[in-house]
Amino acid sequence: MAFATDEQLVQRYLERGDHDAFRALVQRHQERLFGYLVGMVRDREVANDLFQETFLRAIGAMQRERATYTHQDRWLPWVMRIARNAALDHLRGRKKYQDVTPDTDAGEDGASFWDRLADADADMGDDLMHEGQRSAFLESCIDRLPPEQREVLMMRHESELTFREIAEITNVSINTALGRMRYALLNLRRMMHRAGKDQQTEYGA
Amino acid sequence: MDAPDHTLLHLYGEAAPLGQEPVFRPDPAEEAADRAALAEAKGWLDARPRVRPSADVLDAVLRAAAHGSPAGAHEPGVRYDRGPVRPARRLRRAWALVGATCALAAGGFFVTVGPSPRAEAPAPPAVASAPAAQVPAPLAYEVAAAPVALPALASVAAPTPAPIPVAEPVAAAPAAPAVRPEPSWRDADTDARVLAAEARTARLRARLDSTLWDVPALSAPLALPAPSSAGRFTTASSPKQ
Repeated sequence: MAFATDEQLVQRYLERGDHDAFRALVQRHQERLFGYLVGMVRDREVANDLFQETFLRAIGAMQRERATYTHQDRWLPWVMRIARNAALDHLRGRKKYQDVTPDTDAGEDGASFWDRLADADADMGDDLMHEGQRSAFLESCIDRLPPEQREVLMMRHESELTFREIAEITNVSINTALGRMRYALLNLRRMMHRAGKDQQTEYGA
Repeated sequence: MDAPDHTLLHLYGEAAPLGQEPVFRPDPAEEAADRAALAEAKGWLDARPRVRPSADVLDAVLRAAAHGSPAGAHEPGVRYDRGPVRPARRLRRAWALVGATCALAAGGFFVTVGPSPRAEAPAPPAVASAPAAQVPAPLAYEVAAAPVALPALASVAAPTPAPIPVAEPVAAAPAAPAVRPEPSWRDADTDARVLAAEARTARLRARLDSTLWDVPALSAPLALPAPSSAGRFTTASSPKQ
């Protein structure tokens, strides 16, 4: 069971009613799906609801419209598309799907959040930032990323999809997906360096 | 695909798309710095702990898989694995494009086919109030075109010419208008436009005729100059030895 492919597990579940096969499928991909959903909605409770809704939709689609899956022949990207649609429906419903643009993220001094970030060459001060602090700040930095960049980041790191699969799911070219990923990494690095510099200033004072 | 994209693909251990050769920056130091910056952020992300859904949710999912999804969880006709769509934005863009196209077409039509400003100008009031002065007088050719009774043979033989019918004199306007009347039509404009177009056509045709390929460039082949004693050709501009 552990060495069966996703397609083989789906086939066992659909044709023989093997529930253990489906259990193995869920356990194999639960972290990838849930990590992506948490990264998108930034709320564990909502992510739990969306995770359940995703699988309910997937079960219904597999039992009633199996053709839509067999044409694609890759189970995880197919379920990821369902999860993405569920997350976007939720975000649109709550009107939280807003871009973090420099205009909307201006601080009290009028300067943009991105303008206030330090250069990437600034000293990070890793010794001052504890592991727990860094992990917490990393999560807040991910939260501040523009949704398009955050989505590609989550799909690559949490769901472990390839850039080609990400491009197909998000309906963009692979160059666009790579560009979003690149900007996401560079923006994260700038924010983290800014945090280290602020801590150095605080402790120095 | 450019060099930064290939750097990112290489960092994540993915191969370049088929048919695309890897591209790297010409400066190795710049390539290394970019790679190090990306790898630093990737390292933080790789170290993040994985998260799992709650056990209750997993149980609910497995129960649904065993007994089928509950009613209402899957609406008929709804494809939950649909591709990403943004109908509102696409519709707005389409309508904006259609509107801009219509505006351009209307503007072009007005400029091309629309009446000239002279024709649109209102006629002078004096002319409009005195139509008798505008209408040309019933000319003699109209009278001549009318059937004229043939004179008798005797009168033909006589040297006296037949009486030429003379048009009735047009009654002049009772008072001269204050503004000099102008006809509402102006043939001179049309004639000038036609003449200008013909002249332009003639110029273009002459230019085209001069570039025809079937016109021989030379009437006879050029004769090669006799080589000098040193075996080189000399021309009029060659320095004298």
